[in-house]
Amino acid sequence: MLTQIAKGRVYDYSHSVGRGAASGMGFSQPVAMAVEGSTVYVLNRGLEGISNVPWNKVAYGARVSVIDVGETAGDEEFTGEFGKYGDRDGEFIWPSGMILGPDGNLYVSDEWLNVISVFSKDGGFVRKWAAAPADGKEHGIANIASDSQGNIYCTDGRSHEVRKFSPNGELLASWGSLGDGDGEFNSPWGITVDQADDSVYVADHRNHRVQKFTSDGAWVMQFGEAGSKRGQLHLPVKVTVDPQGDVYVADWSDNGMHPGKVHVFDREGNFIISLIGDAQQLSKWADMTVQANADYLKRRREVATTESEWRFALPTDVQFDEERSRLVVLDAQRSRLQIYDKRADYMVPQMNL
Amino acid sequence: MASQDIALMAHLMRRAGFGATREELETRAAAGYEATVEELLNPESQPAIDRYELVRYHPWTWRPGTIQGMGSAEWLYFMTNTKRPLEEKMALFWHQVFATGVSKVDHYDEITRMVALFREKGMGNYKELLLDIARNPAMIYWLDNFENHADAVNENWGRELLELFSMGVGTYTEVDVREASRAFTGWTFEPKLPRGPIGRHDWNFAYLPEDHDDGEKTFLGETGNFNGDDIINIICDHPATATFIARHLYNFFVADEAQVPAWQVIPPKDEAAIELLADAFIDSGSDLKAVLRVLFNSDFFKNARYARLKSPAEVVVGTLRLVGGFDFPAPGLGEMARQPTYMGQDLLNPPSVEGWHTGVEWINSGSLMRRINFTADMVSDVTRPGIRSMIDRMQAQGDLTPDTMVDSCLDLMGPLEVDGETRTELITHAAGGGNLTWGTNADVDASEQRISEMLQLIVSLRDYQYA
Repeated sequence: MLTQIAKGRVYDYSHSVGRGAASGMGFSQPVAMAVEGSTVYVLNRGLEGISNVPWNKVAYGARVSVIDVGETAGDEEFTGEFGKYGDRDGEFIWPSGMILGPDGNLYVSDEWLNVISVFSKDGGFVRKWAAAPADGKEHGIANIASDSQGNIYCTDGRSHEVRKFSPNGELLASWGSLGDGDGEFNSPWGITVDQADDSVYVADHRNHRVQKFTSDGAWVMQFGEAGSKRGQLHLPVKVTVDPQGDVYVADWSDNGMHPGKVHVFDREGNFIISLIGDAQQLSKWADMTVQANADYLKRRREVATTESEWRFALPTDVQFDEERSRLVVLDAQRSRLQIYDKRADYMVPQMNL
Repeated sequence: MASQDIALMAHLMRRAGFGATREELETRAAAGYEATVEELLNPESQPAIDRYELVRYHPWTWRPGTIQGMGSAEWLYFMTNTKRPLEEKMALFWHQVFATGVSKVDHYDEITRMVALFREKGMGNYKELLLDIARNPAMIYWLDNFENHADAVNENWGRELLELFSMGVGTYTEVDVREASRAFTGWTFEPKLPRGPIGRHDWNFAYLPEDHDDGEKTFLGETGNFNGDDIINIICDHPATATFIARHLYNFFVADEAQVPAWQVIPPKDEAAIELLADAFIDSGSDLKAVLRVLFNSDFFKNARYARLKSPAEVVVGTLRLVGGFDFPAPGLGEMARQPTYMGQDLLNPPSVEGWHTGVEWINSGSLMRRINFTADMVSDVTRPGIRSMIDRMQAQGDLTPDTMVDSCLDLMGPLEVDGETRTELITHAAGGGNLTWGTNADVDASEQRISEMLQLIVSLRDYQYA
């Protein structure tokens, strides 16, 4: 369904943006994004492979892509990219999370180097800090978020912790350990902060739930349970909150049909609805590829249905564009964004049409 | 615990798996040989690898592209970390038999799905597996059955089904090939969305009755309006199939045989063993688990230590499991997955439908150097948990003379059996450094370095290339 209505919410599919590409117009294993109006920064993990050149032996496509997604289908523009694979300043091995901080800079986490690097929006490297202690444990900084005070939070998927840093990178607090009780985690991944009250939400990946904390780490509540039925979670990856307090959970939902969903919950954790991906038309850039390949065009006309390409495939991020009241889903394995309008002005058509 | 128990268990785990650490061998030997065989044959008693643990860190492994080195990374991770070693070993066995390559199919993801099928059904019923393979889109494309039409028969699949997948040359006629091929007309796949520009999609089997030759056929002496599944039933009931699969299993698990194309002219090394396995195949209704149970509990298996050359996959995976520390899928997995390729076995990309030639054909000057360099590099890292454990065990024995040092290293690396001349050479080398001592930190550092060097010498021996 392109338009879904449930409990007073309307999610109206708009369009998709992107295609697979190791550089330029498209994405390569995207893992996170930051949304600023129509500008979207997409963090690409890239992929491993073998190159016969020694200076890029391990990865292709790791970078930050900068695009303007415009208002409607076909508006999108590629405006630049920066960063590359490596372990020097401004480089990344396993880029994992990205936010646009209150200071207007981009913060990028790396879950192999375990650093948070700061870039200006034009890609200039500003600084970085080690985000994991040297305590003998294995660490992996999985995702980051910031609160209304500019503090930075990160999940550590390997030590099963959340850490809170000052805007300058000073460690303020940490909480969590391996387990499935209140405040415990099993490979926490996505994290977000509700800017309304600085509540912290964590996608507790291998516990198949979302946990909510105060900004100081006091446990508040959890929601979601393991399963593949309506509203149940399977490997939640990312969580975000919109200005109305609705909570969106990007999930890998391995039910054999749709390897990804975005579940919507209200602020009390009650399930509202799930989105499964609705990209019935190719994005502008994807269509460029198809139009340039006669065999692609022919084969696409031979298939019984294109439905398998409409759906999400292992989404890795979900963000809400407050200015345009739209939900942006990073549909990772399809190398694209799927965009839904959250509409307050929707008029339900006559029911007996 | 008797050293012979450990040696026999090590033999079983090299063949039915990819080797085991001394700690694992001791645990298994205490449980007993037959009990271990049963555990290996019933892998569901052990946890499966969670594919999403890998995808979480290496998202490119979900449906990998066709860049060389990409495709087999997931499988390497599975083989290195599985607690169900025989399940992965059987996947490797069937990949060698139903050899299908990305060089033509151009979809690592589809061949990986085939490996998943081997993982799921590789120890089940052969007939069921063969039927699934006949319906597998990668196989249908690999052997051109999508071009096998009622009015234009293509014999590629029908021929290889008989020649390489079930009965072997010399047990059927050209007419049988033609008739089998007619029976598989209409077995094809649905058109699928192309791989670009937003990733790959599943390929699905399709049966087109309008493109199937429903006429009468005579196949291996039986006549009827056969379809493909009828052909597979007849094949599986034929004694040649039992013998052919038995010989494949013997070659893979027991001792190097002649290359498959020569089987029509070169008799098996151990005809009684082949007969025993073939009988088990027939008696069980082609139940592979029943055949494997007979094989692993037989004397001919137990007495066949170091009677076959390790394949490159066995060298790489066995070494990674021995040295340890690869449970977390760190960056560089793609490069690690290329190591068997450098030694002559490009997983998911066999040289032809015949699979890889095995035994001595694995070895040439280039591949041997790759084997030695890789394994020596791995065992030289004394921080690896498996190497650390060996050092700790030797340190616990106190100061060691050169001959006890060599014997301990050979024991912990297998136990590896070498001839007297080789042992003497190793001891001569070790004697240059005197006794291994542990009195001071400097002594410990020096002893660890000398053990590391000895292990590197051992993996470069001819003997280490055998399983």
